[in-house]
Amino acid sequence: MIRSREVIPTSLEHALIANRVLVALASGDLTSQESQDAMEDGLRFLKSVLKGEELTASRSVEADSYKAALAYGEGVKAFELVEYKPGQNENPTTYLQALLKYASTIREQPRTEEAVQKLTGFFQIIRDLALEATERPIETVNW
Amino acid sequence: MQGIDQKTYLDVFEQKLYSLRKLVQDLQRGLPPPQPEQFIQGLNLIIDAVETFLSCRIASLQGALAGNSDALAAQIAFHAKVALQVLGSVHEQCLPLLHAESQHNEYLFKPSIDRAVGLFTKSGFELTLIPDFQYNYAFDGKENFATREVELLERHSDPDTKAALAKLRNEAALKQWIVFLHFPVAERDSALKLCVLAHELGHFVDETNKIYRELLPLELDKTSFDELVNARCNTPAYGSAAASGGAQLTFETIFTRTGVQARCYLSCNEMLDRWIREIIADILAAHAIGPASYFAFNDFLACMGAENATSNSHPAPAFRLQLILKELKDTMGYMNSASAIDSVLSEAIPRVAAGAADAKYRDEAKVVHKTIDRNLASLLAKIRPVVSEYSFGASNYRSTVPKILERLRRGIAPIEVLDEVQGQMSAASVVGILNAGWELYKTDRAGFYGKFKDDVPELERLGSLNHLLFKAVEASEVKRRWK
Repeated sequence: MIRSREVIPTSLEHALIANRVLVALASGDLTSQESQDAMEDGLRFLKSVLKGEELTASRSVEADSYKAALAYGEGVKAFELVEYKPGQNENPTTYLQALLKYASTIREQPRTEEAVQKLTGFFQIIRDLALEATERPIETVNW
Repeated sequence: MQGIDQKTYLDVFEQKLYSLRKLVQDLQRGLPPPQPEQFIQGLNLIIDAVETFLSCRIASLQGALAGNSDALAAQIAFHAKVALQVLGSVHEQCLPLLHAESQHNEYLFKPSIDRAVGLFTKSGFELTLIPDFQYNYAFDGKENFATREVELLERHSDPDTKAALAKLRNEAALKQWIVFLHFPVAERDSALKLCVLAHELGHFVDETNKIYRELLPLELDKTSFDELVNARCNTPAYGSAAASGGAQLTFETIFTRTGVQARCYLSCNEMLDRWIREIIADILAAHAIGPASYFAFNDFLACMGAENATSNSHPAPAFRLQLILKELKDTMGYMNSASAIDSVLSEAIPRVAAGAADAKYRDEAKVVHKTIDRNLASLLAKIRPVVSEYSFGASNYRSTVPKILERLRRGIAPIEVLDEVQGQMSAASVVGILNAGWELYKTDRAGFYGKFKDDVPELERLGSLNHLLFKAVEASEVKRRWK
């Protein structure tokens, strides 16, 4: 049996990435090195989400596919909470690809409110979900 | 926890930091030598790094968000929560290892384990045995323990925090691997039962040689995966249709088909990862210690009262027993003679095969089992070369075990045996000693017990056999080192 001993689990790392993106977006200045680095990590996270989507579609299990699948799972949950409308908008791909496009271009082009709003909404949910995932139960009761 | 102010978070952080440092010191004082020094150094590094991370991040945020007190408070609370969670992990996952280590008895076989690991890895490692009250064996290992965690905090920090963390990290010089092997404390006096540790060492060899990565990519079985997704999509959710006043809600209507598929893929991925790692460890253990791996695993499963059922972490027990027996027979040359050991192993084959055929696979387990079944031959072909040089095949068994067994039968700790080529006594092989112990236990227990006075209870006689084995393992290792 393998016991996992991750002092900093992947979810907590995702929370840290998402928080840095949110700080960068809120700062209004995406030209500083700190903001640039944060947006780069946010972009990498979104690419990992889409890699997870590809792997899920192909059912391929690779060396790091679990991490990508975890990121994709978080991305899909964010979609379910933000964009999903039964019978109208049931596929997260368009939403996730649009986020990737916003994150890719926001540093080069004059920032648009739509891009800031969409990215902020997504990364807020990722931060909260990821932080929740690492929380311990407040109390355990056995009888 | 939105109602908690940042000052409270910072206060409790200071207190938690203080109490963890004190705990590490107290536990360290109670440890008998040799202490897991690298692990303790790593723990202290993580604790220091978390303190540095939080204090430097707060200083940086106070500058960057000077005009926005709400945002500053929220960011301080966020970073304090992250820091507290990391300290929580240290408390929950790492300190019990130090505590358990304080309960250890003499590990007569530890030098042999270190020597075995050294055959498979050139990296520095610190290996610690942990007696556990959970009735289980476990491998708990980490590459670049502590430095990895500090690097991760660095990656999500501002330049000043990064520099402070990098300084801490560079001052520590930790070994690449810090490993804990857990075993049930009730089995500490049984050399026979502790042979299961060979499987746990198999996990370590897998990690250091990255065997698992070599076996990928694999494609999940399509038919069973689609069945799983369809079944989950149609699973009723939130009570009946009548109760919700309309059409029956299903997982698909709540999570979307894509969401269900993503969850199924994630759980299958995790299960496949774990099952394959178990198979790797089973095969490595079978090659490393031969029939002893089968006997010890078989008795361990019996001792657990384990059902022949799959779990998230393990394939069905009968499937694994069958895999080990097939490896012993088809690849390692056992069960080709009328010897006592071959007879015992051969007798198990039909029983284990029936159990394997009878195992039930549902949901994720069905997907993973079918995926492994389809790829099993190629997986095994990639695992074997790692251990082939040290494989304890039937010819090795025949040349080493009988001489050791002969001494054991007479109640002598088989520390040395006659090396006929060199014409002198040489240290007995540890694997040979363990297999001789199992052969005696499985094929001539009554003969061995017959050497004792009538008033000695049977289980004490078995205890004596285990003592002879421990003694032989320890002393043969000493002799090997002197040579």
